[in-house]
Amino acid sequence: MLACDLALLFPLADGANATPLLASEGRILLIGLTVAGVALLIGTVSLWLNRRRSADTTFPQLEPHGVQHPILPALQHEESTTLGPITTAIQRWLDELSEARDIWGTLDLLIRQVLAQQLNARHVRCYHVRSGHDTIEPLTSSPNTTPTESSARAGVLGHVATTGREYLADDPSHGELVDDLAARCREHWAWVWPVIGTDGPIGVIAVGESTGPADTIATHRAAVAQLLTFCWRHVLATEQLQLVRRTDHASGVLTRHEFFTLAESALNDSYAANEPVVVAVLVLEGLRGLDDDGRWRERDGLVEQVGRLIAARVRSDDLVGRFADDRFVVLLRRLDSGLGRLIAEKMLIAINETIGELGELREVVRLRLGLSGSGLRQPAFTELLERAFDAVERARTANVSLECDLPTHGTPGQQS
Amino acid sequence: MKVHCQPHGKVTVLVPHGPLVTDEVVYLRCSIEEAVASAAKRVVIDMADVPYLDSAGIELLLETCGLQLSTAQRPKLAAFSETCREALELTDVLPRLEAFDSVDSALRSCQR
Repeated sequence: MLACDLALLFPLADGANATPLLASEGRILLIGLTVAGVALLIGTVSLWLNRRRSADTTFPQLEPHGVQHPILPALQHEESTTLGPITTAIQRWLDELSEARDIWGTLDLLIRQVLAQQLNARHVRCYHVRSGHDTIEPLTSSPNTTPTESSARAGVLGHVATTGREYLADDPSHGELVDDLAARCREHWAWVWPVIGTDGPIGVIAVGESTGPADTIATHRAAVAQLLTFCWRHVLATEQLQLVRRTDHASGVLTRHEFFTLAESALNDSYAANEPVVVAVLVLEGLRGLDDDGRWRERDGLVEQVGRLIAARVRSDDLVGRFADDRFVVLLRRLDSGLGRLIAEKMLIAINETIGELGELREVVRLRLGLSGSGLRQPAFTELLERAFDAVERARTANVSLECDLPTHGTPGQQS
Repeated sequence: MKVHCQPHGKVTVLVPHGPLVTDEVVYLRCSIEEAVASAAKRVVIDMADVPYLDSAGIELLLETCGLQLSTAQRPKLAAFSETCREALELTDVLPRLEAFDSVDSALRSCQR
C-alpha cells in the first residue's frame, strides 16, 4: 500500500516515461518495505530491551542529565505500556521524522539521548561514512562551522568505518595493532560501532565513556546498537524518499516546482550578497519526432543523459531543473556574464558531443541554449526566465545553437 | 579585496580575501607583480578565502600563474574553495595552472 500511495506522487509526464517510472516504483517499494521493516524491528527490539530492563534490577534507572531539548519525553514522563515507553517514544519520533527540517540533526539528538539514558554514555559522536567509505563526516555541525571530513583510513574511527567491526577498548581480542591505533588517537573511545547499511558501513557511532555495571551494559549494548542502527537506516530511507520526491524521475534533476522554490531562495541570497546570476534555458528540439516514430526508448535515454550531463557541467552552488518535456533550466550563481557564457558553451559542446555519439539521433535532435544575466540590476527570477526563453526563440529563428541576453558590465562582488 | 603578504623563508605567501571579480582583480594583480619582482623569491597564493571568481578572475590567474610562464616567474596556487575549483574545472582552466590542495603542499614543492 505504501508503495502504491507513493507512486501516485510521481505521475507520468507522458506515456513514454513508463520505463523510468517502473524503476522509480521499485526503488520506492524498496524504501517502503525498509521503513515498514524498521518499524517492526524497533518494536521487537524495544520489547526485548524493556523486558530485560524490568527484569534486571541492578540496571540503574538513568536520567537524561546533561541533555538539552529532550525529544523523547515519553521516556521521562509517561507510564509504561505493553511495549514500553521507549517503543512509544521511538515510534512517535519515526512518525514525526518526515516533518523535521534537519533529519540527521534529529537522529544525532536521539542517539545521544538513548545512549545517555540506556547506557549512561557520555562524549558521544556520530559520523557519516561517505564516498565509498573513504571519508567520515560528523552527522551534524554547529551553525557557525561546516562539517569537516576526515579520512576513514585513520584512527579507531577509520578502523571501524573500513572494517565494519565493533571496537571495545576493554576487549583484548582486537589485537595489538588496534591497541596501537587507539593509543595514537587524540581522543579515547570506550566503544565504537559501525552502522551497517545494505552495502557496508554507512555510519560510525563512538562513545567516549559509559558508566554503570559492566555486565549489564555489555548485555544492553547490543540491543541499543541494533535499535539505533534501525533508526539510522530509517533516516537514510527517509532522505532517499525526499530526494525522489524532489527529483524528476526521467532526467534526475529537480522538478519544476522544486526548482522554482529553491531558485527563488537562491536568487534572494545572491542579491543580498550583491552577487549577479545567469539563467540558462536548454531546449532539446526534435523529441516529438522521436515520439512520432515510436523511438521512445532512445528519447528517454537521451533525456536522461542530457539531464546527467547538465548536472555534471555546473558547480555545486548552481541549480538545474526540468521545466517541460524538452526544456531544462539552470540557475548559475556567483559569476559574471563572461563566465556564465563560458560555462554554457562548454556545456553545449559536451551535450552535442554526446548527441553526436548517438548515431542517427544527431540528424533528428538539436540542442539550443538561451542565456540571460542579472548584472547589477537584480531583476526578478521570472523576468530572467522570460529573457532566457526569448533568447532561445531567437536562436531557433536564426538557426544557431546559442543566443545571449547578457549585461556587459562585470561582477560587482563584495565591498573590500 | 585585501591581500595579505606572509614571508615563509624564501617563499612569499599571498593571501587574498574576498571574491576575485572584475573590480577586485587589480589588487591581486599588483600584489603578484610586486612579489614576483622582489628579489628571487618564489610566490604561493593561498586561495582559501576567495569564495568565488568570475571571468576576469580566471583571466588574471591564467595570465599571471599560467603554465606558459617559467617556473621562477609563476606563482603556485593553493587551497581553492570548492566553487572556485569547480569553475576552473568546468572551463578547463585548472590543468593550465599549478594548483595544490594546501599551502603546505605548495610550500614543500618550492623547496624541491
